[in-house]
Amino acid sequence: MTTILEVKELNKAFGGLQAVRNVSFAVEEGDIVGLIGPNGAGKTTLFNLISGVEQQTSGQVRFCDHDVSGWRPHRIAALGICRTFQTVRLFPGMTVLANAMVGAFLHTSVPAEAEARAEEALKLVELYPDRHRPTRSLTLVDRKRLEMARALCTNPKLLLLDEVMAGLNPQEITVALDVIRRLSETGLTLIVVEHLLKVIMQLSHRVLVMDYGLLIADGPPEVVRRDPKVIKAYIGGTEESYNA
Amino acid sequence: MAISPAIAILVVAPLLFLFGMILYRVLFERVVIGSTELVPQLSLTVGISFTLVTISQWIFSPNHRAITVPWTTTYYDLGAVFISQAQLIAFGVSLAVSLLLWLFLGRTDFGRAMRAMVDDRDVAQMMGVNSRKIYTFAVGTSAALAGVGGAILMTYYTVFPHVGLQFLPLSFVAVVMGGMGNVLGAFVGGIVVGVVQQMTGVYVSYQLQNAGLMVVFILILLVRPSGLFGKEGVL
Amino acid sequence: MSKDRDLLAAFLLLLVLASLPWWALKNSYTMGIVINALAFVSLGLAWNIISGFGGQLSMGHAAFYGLGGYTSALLLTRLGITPWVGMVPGMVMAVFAGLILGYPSFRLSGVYFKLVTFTFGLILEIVARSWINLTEGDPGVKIPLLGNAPAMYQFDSAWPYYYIILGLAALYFLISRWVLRSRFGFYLQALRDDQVAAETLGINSLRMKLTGFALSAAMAALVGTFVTQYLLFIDPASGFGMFTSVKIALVAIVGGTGALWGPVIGGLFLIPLAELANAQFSNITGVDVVLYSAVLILTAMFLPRGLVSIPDLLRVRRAPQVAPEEQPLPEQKSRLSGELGLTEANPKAE
Repeated sequence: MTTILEVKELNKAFGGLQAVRNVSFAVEEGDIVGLIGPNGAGKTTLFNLISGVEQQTSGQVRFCDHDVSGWRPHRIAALGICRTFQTVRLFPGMTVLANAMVGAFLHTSVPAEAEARAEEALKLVELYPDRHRPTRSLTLVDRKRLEMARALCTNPKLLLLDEVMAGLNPQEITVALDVIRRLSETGLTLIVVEHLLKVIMQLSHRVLVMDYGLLIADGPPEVVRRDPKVIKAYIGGTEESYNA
Repeated sequence: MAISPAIAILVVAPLLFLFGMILYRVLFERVVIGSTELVPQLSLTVGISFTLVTISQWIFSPNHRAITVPWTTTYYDLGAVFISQAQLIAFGVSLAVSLLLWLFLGRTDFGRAMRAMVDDRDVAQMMGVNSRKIYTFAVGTSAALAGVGGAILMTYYTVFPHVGLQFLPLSFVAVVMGGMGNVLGAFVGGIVVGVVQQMTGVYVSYQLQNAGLMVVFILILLVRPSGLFGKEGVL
Repeated sequence: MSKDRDLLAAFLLLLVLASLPWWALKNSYTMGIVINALAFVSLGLAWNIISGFGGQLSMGHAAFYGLGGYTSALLLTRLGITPWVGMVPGMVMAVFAGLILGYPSFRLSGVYFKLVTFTFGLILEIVARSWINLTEGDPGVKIPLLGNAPAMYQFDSAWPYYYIILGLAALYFLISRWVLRSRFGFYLQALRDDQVAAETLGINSLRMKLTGFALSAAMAALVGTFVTQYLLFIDPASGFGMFTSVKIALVAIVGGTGALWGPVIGGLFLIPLAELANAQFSNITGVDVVLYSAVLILTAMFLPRGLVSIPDLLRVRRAPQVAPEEQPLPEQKSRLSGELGLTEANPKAE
């Protein structure tokens, strides 16, 4: 397998706060990589850096043999990285179908083609019957589904999912896992941030663990689970996380 | 009836402060608070402004008027330039007002609460800042300061119902050029506006003084988009 | 409303408007009112592209209208170039100005764009007043009377003007409809709703906004040439003035910002209303201004989505729909993980 994403010594500081420190890792094509860590560990910031929403303080991101460090988000998206947001970010003034079509327009300028692509993605996440509804009338779960469908419409090579399963009930999680596995079988590479450890451990081929901006573990789920550093970060790290 | 502009300021400022606060509570509040859409806010303020201009046209007629006070006819010879006493007083008053505003925003609890609201409304509210009080006060202060500006400018300009439109673009340019939300920036921006206007007027052409200002304005925005003293990425 | 019903309705409206001079508009005064209304419908449609679809509120759109009017008028009076040709440099000037203003201000938040466009209009007005050698100053530029000279964009009756502006308004409606249904329009609306999310889907925000602004400016400039030729003069206040800018935005805002029909309904409603009010109270100046202000304030307070939203409001009142409540994210998360017995990594949870 070939390396699709390579992150080298990535740093991001907000004023005095070092949100991401010296993070390096590589992702193989077709992998499902889980990214976990306590709140404030820097997971979302890492996504922001990879997708170009924020600029790193130092370090490098390579994707498909391009150094994308410092690129604007739209160029990175055109190269094949798409993402969802932890705080779902849809286009509230547009219908469900129109939201998905915005994503689909990345590869076609013909509205009918974009519509067909969007409808296909909406069927995948089971939102097709709601396609003419205004976005603001969707429940949170449906909003997350729509955001994922919209991202899929861009036909990405690498998809970054930021807590798409938070707020889902166990059945819905099973459905979501099934969707993600099927996507992975089509050759899509995924990095999945999720708080639900059990889900991540089931789903991922490989797990990255972040704490205080540092990458503290990187390996197969069964190894990471027994890693003393990870256990410490989750249980013995701070008083608060002990209560979790 | 003749009231000196010096005394007029003391009357005008509190009256406009009150007027601003009433405007906020009666009209602005219904539209501005909780609305992220800017269209209604703009519609409302522009509508109020036009109404006031037309009403003052009906009351005062559209004619230009000027006042004559001893200050306006006294000039000081500063070697290269003549400066009227009125202009000198205007400079002093704006310096004093800016200083007071700066001290108020930086040194008093209320002023700091105001700035916290600008930085992050939700957090400020969580910390117990009363947003309604702050906004009411801010609109009142802003109206009062504009009134003070008008009263000073009147001593050496003519006044007429549309006079505000003459100074509105200049004050916008001053604020944006200086960096929004920054008292020092507005002050320096105002001085830059005046200097560029006069320099263009003297060395290029009087007709082109505002064109010169626009060129400098766009150049500054191209180099420093958030203004001379603006924080990068603010707003 | 389905897409084809839009077209059908527009076609019917066009037929009605085209027939008006034959039975309703008997004199040049009443025809002038509708010409004026159609000019503002066109300007509102132009404004709506960048400000309604794109969400970038242009507060000085008169600047582009004035640039179109002044450029073609001066080319005619100084060089004898027919406005049919002169309207093109007018559009080029407007596009150029739009790009220069848009480039720095679009990279910042929307506040700057509003301030910059607003200031630009006012400053152009001052420049037009004071650069007398070029613009002839306060009195404005007068178009020499040539009688009936179609080649010079001048006619001796109101009829041709009426059909020119009706055609232009119809064209602008079709352009708006095309924009709304094209990739360009989807992108503009996405940027309006959430710029960060739009960019992560591959949208080049700067280029899209500049394109939208340039199109919008060019459309406004073309109307500027028309109105200048129709009125046979342009002056700083009517060309660049804040009141003109506000009227342009107002037409779209009152009708419905960002809606295809907004500027059409707003223009055909507001402008005749103001003209009638002015005629009714001809002894008081500024009745139209106060009327516009009142409509602005009332719209802001009670109808923020404009006249086009009235049918929706009525429908909702008749059959109240319960919007699904938004589910608070953190609570949901912690309860869920509790049920599942998963190791929860959220330090905020109890």
